[in-house]
Amino acid sequence: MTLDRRRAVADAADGALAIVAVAGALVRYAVDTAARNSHVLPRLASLGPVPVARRVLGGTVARALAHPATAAVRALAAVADELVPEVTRAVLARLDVPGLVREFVDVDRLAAMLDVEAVVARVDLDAVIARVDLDAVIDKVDIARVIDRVDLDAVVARVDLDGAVDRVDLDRAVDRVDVDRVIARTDLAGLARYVVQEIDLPGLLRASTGTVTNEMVRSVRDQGVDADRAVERIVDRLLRRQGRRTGTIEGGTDHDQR
Amino acid sequence: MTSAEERHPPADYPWHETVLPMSVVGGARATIQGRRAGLVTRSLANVADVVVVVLLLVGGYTAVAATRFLLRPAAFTFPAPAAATLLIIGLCLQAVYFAVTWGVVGGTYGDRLLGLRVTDDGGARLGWGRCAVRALLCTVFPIGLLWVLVSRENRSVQDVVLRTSVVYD
Repeated sequence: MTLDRRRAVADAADGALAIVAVAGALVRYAVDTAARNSHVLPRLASLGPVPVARRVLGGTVARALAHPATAAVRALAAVADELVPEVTRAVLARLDVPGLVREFVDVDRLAAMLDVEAVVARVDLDAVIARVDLDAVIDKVDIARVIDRVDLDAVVARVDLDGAVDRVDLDRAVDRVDVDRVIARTDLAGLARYVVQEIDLPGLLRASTGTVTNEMVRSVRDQGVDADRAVERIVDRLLRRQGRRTGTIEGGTDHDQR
Repeated sequence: MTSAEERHPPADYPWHETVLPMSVVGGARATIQGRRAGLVTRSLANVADVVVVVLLLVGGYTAVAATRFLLRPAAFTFPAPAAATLLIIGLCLQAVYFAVTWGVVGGTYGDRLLGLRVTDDGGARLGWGRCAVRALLCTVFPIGLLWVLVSRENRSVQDVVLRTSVVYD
């Protein structure tokens, strides 16, 4: 609807209202004058049909005047009852009501004036929730997508795992472990084979028997060396010598033996 | 290093560390290796060698007796050589035994038992010629070993003559 058409409709409405207002005023003036002349109706404040009718009944003139006036008002009211909704509907049909509201009404101010708390307090949320089919809602939620959007690493990073572990009584936990069952599930034979293979048992046996037989020989050799040194020291002392050079090229530097 | 490792240093788990079998050559032995041996060790080696030579002699005597028995069982008597003959045979046997063992493995059985080795001044095994001469000298003049006591370099007379050494192996 263009601005010109809207203005024309507004002008027409204003004109119609003006005509109705003038007509109403004329009728009211006529009735008022008739009542004042009869001194029966000193105050005719209301246009309501019942008080007017009651008060007009006071005088014949007034009654004679009032009767047709009342009839006219009634007829007018009936017509208005018929017309006003039609006219209003026609007018509203031609109006951009949301646009007008947006233009003339400050919705924010209205909203600020609303006591939302009171509104909420009047709402029976339990009843509302009882009417909601939560299962259906949950069925519609794609949990996998929700979980995908959660950064679990960040969540875990905020957890104090060390503190949690410190609070755990591991000894008690171990006490509750059935070690026999654990052992039953391990390949003990394979493990033992691996261990034997690793420690080279035959080699160890050979080495130990060799060690036993070599033990005597080694002790004889060591005692022989000691005896050599003792004899050399005695001879050197008798000969008043400082020491011997027993080192060879193979045996390192040729320093004195004392 | 993780916190677990800090809490449990490797010392708590000795089995985690590789423990090799103990070396047969002791530490004390390693320090004297290559040095010239003294009189006691070399004398003990000679005693062992004499035992070996005697055993060889007995073996030879048994072999000769067995051979004689097999050849003439009826007229068999145990051979009764003169003492001088036995001595000469024994000395010859010893000389050959010395020369062969020094030349082949660098030491007689007695030397190996006492952990000794006969070398030249360079630490190498002796040549056959020097082995033969040294064996002869040692057999004929065994008393030359006593020079080890006097020598500042633990050399016997044979060692001094032939520039050889007997070292701990």
